[in-house]
Amino acid sequence: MKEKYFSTFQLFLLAFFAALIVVAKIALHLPLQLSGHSGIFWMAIIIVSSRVVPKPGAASLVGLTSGIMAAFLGLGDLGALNTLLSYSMAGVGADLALILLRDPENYFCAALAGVFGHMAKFMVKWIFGMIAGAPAGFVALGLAKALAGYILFGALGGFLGALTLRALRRAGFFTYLMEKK
Amino acid sequence: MAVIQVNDLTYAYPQGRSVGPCSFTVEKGEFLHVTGSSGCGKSTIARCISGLIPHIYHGKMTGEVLINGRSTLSTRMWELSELAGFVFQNPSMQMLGNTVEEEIIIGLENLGLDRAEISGRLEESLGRFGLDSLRGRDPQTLSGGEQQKLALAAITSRRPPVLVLDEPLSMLDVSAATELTRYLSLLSRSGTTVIAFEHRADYLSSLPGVRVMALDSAASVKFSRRRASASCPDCKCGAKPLVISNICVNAGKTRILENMSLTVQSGSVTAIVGRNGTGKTTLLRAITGLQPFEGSVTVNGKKPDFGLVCQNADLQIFNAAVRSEILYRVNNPDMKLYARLLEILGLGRYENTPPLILSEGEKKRLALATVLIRKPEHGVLLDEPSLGQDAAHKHTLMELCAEIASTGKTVILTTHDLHLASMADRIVVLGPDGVTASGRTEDILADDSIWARAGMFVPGWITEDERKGITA
Amino acid sequence: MMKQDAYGMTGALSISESSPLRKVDPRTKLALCLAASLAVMLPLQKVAVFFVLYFMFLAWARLLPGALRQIWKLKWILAVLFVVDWLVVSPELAVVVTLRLVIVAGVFAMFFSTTTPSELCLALVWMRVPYRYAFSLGLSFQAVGHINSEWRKILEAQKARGAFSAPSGWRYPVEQVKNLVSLTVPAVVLAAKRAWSMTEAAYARGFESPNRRPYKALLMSRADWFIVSGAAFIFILILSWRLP
Repeated sequence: MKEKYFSTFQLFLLAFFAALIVVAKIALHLPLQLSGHSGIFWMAIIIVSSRVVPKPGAASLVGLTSGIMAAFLGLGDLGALNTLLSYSMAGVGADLALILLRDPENYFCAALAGVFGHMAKFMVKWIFGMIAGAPAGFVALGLAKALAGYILFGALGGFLGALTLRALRRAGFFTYLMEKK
Repeated sequence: MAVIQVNDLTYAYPQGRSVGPCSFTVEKGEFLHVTGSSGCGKSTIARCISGLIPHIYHGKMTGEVLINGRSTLSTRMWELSELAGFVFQNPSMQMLGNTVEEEIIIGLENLGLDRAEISGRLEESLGRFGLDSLRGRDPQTLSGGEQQKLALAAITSRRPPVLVLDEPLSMLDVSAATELTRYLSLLSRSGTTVIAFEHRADYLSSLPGVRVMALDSAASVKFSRRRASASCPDCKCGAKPLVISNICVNAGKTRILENMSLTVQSGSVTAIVGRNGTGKTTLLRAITGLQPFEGSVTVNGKKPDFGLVCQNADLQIFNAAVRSEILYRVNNPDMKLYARLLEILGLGRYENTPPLILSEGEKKRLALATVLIRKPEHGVLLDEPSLGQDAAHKHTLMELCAEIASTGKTVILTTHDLHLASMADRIVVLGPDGVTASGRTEDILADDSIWARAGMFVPGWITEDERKGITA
Repeated sequence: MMKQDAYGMTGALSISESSPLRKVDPRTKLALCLAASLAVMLPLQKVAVFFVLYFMFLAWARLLPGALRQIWKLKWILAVLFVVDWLVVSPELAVVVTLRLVIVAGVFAMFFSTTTPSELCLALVWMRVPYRYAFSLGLSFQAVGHINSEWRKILEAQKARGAFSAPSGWRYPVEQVKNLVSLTVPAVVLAAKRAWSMTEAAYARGFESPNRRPYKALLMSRADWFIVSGAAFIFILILSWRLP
């Protein structure tokens, strides 16, 4: 069989991770006593996907797929295009960060990649405001409060991603994956 | 003429487990039933014949498999799929389309057929398998039996000369399994070579002209009814029965359970049977309090404390080793009980093994251990514990249930497997209108009218001995 | 824990079956949305004219209620931006920013609320996206229902084991995140198992066969050409309109 960049299994796996993100976003309130925490699970899955399918672009593909799904499901306040782009950019941001930081199982690297991914999503909102012609200072001010949340939950999401990866490794998940092309 | 030749086939998984060597041939138009216990390599050999091994698996395969004279090693996967169709164990996990029609069309598109030919084959398949009225439905909303028929329709519409089936009956209830067996028989008579890897031997073995090949001696393990209640069916130990009074459960606008009342004796093993969708799992969830309901569920007038073992063990496994999985968040664990659980559940040698690499049967036993270590006060509930388990494992499971019951606790299990149910002390039959009947196993099995009301039947091969409840 | 049941959630796909755009080729709709989103670059008078035409089009396409709901979701952002722009810069800017935001937030709903995921996949294949990528996108939509119900079961199973009994409250975020591993690990494992089953099932039906011929194909109808040329005409008219 001719070697493809992503094998069929990897593509399906990434598609399912994207669905996990969307389900978490819509239907789940995690048993966590913190407000605005949906980004935690979002970034965790993106970080996990980048290790389970260890190729540059895996996180971006998960972001793009979840963005398309979220747009279809009508998620987000700023419309389908904004939703599509912000979900996609969360994946791209994490992907780019992990190209530099490399190890998503390292707590620090994963948390930083989580912050990058979540910040990329934040940037999309900011750029949207700018394109619409809103004053940059005002947009920055309005989003400043949200920014703190984006950084915190991005970092916690990355941390959860690294924790999950370590737990998966100890539980034998990567051995299970080893035989599958 | 041999359509399939398997010569000195061995396969080693990257983790070290290996299967084989084995050699056999299958003639054109033959119906071969391959039996064997869980873990003996049935699924692996089935995948070798279909070509999935070695094409999408990383392990090491030696020997060869020839289909119509073509080696699976040198023939491309998409070509092999035209020579040998493959039907998997769990139909809900193999549905690729958004509708029943689409499910069939996906495979036909890959054959390169024109639209008219695809339409023709689609209609023929829908008609042959009685799926016409379901054509626009989402496959995931079908029952297990309908899904397995759809899987068969999707594969046979491609008209492969060979059909390989991996445990096609293990997820089905009696009626669905009987119906599927009939379809397989028809396919075989129409000239398709059929190889069914299936440990539920009784359905296929009763078909005329079926050749049976056993992969190991354990395949011949037979059920024997083991009465659980050396225990206390009449509550002599003082334990109180579980009383379910007029409970109603809704899921959205659908009412799943309506005014259901039932009393389950403690110190006994009770099997709840019924067709898909009669609310077996919902009832267990209601007993544990996971499912909101109207009405009351009590033991001795109080809310009961039961441990629930889920159908899918993967839902709860996440720790690094069997030991940490069992002891996870257990306050002051009883280490004697822990050691005993490892022993009776056959998990002792896996104490430090990552749970995810255990077999499905072992994972189910591990899930049971995680519940039992918490010492639920009133007993345990097991949701479909026999799915995908062979006769020997089912037997071990029922022995364990009997042992738990003998301490005065209540054991309730849901199952579509009447063989397993026949080993319980009592059977509750759920039908479309709630509890159809409840009573001693031998009485319930002997009364055909009960089964007819529940839309089920007891196959002849559940022997008279089992019907009468004679202990082996 | 769950807002809705499994199929209630996929029901959020809410395709507007009554919309005339439902029958329009997805490629046409995509082109229409892309072109319309460029309107945010127009100056005030032009964007105002476009805004009126856009809402007339939405009314014709029976998508107005959805668009109004979208605006309602944005009400606070729009209100605050409007007031601040008015006070800080000018009333003109306040109006233009509001109109642009409404357009950009709603325009792609014309595509997403009248197209099924399967149609999107066909359009992607037409746009030379490899079939295997488009197919996996279709699978991800299909997976939402399963994953939703699996999540519910995982939560129940883990709660029953006391998996979330660590200290709660804002002072213990790290402890709480650690608790979530009992959810994420089974979720990832189940997703992987399902993905593998699907992979096997796909290959068993000749996935990646070079002979594949699609049963359904996209076809541009007269209505499509009419909408495309009409939209292009209006767009050119707006662009070439010289302001006094």
